[in-house]
Amino acid sequence: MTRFKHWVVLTLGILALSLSSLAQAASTGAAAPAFVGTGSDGKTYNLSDYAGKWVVLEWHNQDCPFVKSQYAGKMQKLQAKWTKKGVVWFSVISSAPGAEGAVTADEANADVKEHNAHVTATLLDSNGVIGHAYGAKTTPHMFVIDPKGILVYNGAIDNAPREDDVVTKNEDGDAYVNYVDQALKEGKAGKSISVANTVSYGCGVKYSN
Amino acid sequence: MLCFPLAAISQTTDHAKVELLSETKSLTPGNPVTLGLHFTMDKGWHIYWKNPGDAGMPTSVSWKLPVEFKAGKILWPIPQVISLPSVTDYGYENEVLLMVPVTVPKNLKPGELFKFSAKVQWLVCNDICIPGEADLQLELPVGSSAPPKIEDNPLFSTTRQSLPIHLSNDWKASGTLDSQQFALTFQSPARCSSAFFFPAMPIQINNTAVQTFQTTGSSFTLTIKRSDQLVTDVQKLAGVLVVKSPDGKQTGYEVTIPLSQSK
Repeated sequence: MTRFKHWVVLTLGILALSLSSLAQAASTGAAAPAFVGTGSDGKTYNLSDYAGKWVVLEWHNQDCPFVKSQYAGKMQKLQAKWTKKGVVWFSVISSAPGAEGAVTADEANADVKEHNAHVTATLLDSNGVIGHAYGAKTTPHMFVIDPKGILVYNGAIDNAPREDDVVTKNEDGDAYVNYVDQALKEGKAGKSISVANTVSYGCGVKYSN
Repeated sequence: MLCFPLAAISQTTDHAKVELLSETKSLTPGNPVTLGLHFTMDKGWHIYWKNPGDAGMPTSVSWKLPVEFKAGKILWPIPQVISLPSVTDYGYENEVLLMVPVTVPKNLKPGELFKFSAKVQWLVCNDICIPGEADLQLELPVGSSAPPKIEDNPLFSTTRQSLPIHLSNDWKASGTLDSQQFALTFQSPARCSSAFFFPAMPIQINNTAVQTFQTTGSSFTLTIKRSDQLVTDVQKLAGVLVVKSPDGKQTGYEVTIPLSQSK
């Protein structure tokens, strides 16, 4: 009798889990999707371990021209600035094995070292589970999660897709905005996030499915 | 006698060649001229529509024109869906002509020569992406002021047939939006065997989810999943509706569909 009860509870539990993952979407204002990732350092990283901290997710592909442009200096400076202030920064690679951007753990570590990236860890997501959970479309694609675990920003790194250098105006003549920097500044000051969703730009994430 | 260079200057970069063309060999004062950016890509490579979809960058051009000439916006032919695992884009494979109408002032002297400069930027991709840029120039002479001779330019006339047209008055279009999806209802003058909607703006529809087409007599519905980045409801949905008639003919319509909230 006890065994049957446990079986029913287990089945319902699995059903609930799969339904919730089907319904899962990375909508700002809602809880950020849970994940457990493997770092290029071999360690396991569970988002729930970072409750109480600001977390940034950066979808990465070192061979994508838009990522290369950001890594001419801007991205690393931003990572350094915010990780110094206690923000957790994960670089996530969801390229399928053999696709552009797919790297071994050693290659990922070499990339970080070569570019002087200041990331907490690089998560190797070659089966795309974390990418799909967040709906990551491009590299780069940025997500900012607040200390309560709420997704507060989803979108582009900035409004200047074609600029390698630090600029005050983008190619359309508008004032340059780094949306992640802005969201973290506002969020940490207790203000509401003025721009929560933008269209991310970059190369498509090279998913396997 | 001076030889006017009529051919466009073209540029070939990684996997794409682009040339600046004119529909007519000369300018007629007071009559617009249609210029075109003719792209040819290596097999399997594509460039992007004004809304590139999930990833990519729209093809763009900025002009340097003689005084009083004004360039309009790019006339975008019906795009293609470019499907990759979990990423869906909108663009053009292999070849496309992006036409731009340019207004021509009235007081021009026959034989005068004018220079048109275009700075073109694009992203060309297969499963990797390469940004491209070209500075192109074209010189055109002013012809006589008489009404222009209809010159047959097959590349331009074929492309005109693939431009979306406005929805005529014998169509009806409306839609609803809820937390999950857009449900668009159309009443058409003739039966449609299939339909697809290309959104003009990003992060409104989910580009990868299948669009469900259902028909009842002369009306049909398209159910399209909402983007998870669309946080605030929109009042209308703009884009290009592409329908196929039972005989396989494809037509694209520029539409702006008013939306009401469905309960």
